[in-house]
Amino acid sequence: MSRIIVVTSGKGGVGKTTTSAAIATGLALRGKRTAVVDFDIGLRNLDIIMGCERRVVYDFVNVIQGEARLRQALIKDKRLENLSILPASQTRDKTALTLEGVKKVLDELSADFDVIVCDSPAGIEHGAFAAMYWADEAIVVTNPEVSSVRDSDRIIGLLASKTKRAIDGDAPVREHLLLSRYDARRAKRGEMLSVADVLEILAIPLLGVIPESPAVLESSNSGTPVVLNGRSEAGEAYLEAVERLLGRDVPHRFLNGKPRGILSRLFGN
Amino acid sequence: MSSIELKGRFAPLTVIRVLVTDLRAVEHDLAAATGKAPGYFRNAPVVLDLSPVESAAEAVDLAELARAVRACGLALVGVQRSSGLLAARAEELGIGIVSLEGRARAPQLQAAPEVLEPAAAVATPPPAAASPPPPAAPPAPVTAAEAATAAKDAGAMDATAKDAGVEGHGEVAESVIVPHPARSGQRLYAARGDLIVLGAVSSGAELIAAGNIHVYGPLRGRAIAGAMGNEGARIFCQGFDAELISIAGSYMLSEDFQGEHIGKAVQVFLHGEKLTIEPLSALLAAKK
Repeated sequence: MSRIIVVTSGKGGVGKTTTSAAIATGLALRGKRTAVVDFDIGLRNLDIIMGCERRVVYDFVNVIQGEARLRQALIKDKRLENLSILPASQTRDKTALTLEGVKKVLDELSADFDVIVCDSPAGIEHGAFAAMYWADEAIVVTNPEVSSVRDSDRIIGLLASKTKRAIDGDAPVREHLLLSRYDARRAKRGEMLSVADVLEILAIPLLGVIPESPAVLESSNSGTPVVLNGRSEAGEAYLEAVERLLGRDVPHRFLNGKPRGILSRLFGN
Repeated sequence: MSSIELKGRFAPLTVIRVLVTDLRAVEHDLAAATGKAPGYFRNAPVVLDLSPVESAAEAVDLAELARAVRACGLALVGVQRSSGLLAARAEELGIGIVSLEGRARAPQLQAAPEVLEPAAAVATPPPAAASPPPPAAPPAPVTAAEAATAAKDAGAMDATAKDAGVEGHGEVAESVIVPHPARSGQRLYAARGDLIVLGAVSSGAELIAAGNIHVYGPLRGRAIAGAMGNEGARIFCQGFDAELISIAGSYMLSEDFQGEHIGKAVQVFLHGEKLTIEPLSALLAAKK
């Protein structure tokens, strides 16, 4: 059985799609056969961040409605051979995602992939619900600000009550906190919530802290997941998070600002 | 000296919203609703809300409706304030006119859905709260007598034994234990007894209990204890930072709290008509 991981947050604009792309690509870099699925029907974005928007022919909804086979809709990544993308439909709406239809697609993906990353839409409506329903694990993406933390808290509550695992009384969905757009200096000055503040409220295990980095915007505009984009701090932080997802105990390097030595501070960015 | 005292008091009432004029249908549904918890409804004070059928007031037989309500063992207190014909009929029949809009009742109205089956609706906890209390060792429900004693110790002199118990209608109090944190957006009910949360209560979460509320963690959300009018109910928490607290309809918002209690382990109780927040450490100090 493959691992089904939903990337979710409640709030929009916190970095779910960036995270889905980075984590899926990182897993593929580490040798896992990985599929990343865009659940944001009607607001298709994942394909842009993955750099395959011109190769979309069929989409997730076509597969659910039997208009195309999964093999036809899946886009193989050109950089990593064990990475595939299932794009969302840009023309339909989220009601096209039936729980049974989603299950059928996930089951079929399970045969060929080790990990399935589900990129959830924002909100707590049907689309987000469909993305989390079948998940084994959840990466809750949170920004260090109060509204984002509250929405994440809400989502964690839904993961514990509305998912298939919760309804069946199986082992609960494993939750991981990913704190993105973190600026340690501003947190120290009290301008944003610190890692400790967020952990105190949400109380789920910390998967990673992604520092605020210009590389993220550059990567999404160029269609290159940030983990492939040179040696940016955000990319490194995502790769560390991937290691932790794979069960390795990696120390958190980005809790207190730049982890590099004095020379790179003088000469690099 | 006067032989009587007049007191204005808020008391919990069940509102029966009548949605149709068909008397037989109402009779049938009433019997079904009250039959689910006969002990709870026995002689329970109720108010009829006829506003949904106001436009068809001609077709409403208020005398027969009152008979049907009483036949189910309910005590009809009055009719929700309405205009015109129905109000006049109520006066003729000697049925009171009740106004249910009141500042202090606001949180309570929100807590108890205004439908025909309030008890049934409240008694069904949302999925998050559905996990039954572990059968091994449910905490002994506070008996009326114990609660009254405790209330007296704290100086809440006018809490009587009857007020303090949650078994007012002859049912055994049922505590609900929630073995996980209460997240934003979750509403957890203990319709008959205490609500015990083993973990944090996030801002945006809502706890509602007929009895006491215990939070073994920080309380950052809303806590509504004594939701059925139990003035002896209390709220206990390990770290106080609530958005709203309410006991038996009296409530306070976070802007009313004094900063000194924030983050402390406290209890909240009704002292007379006033909500009082007291650090638990004060209890220990008093005993020395």
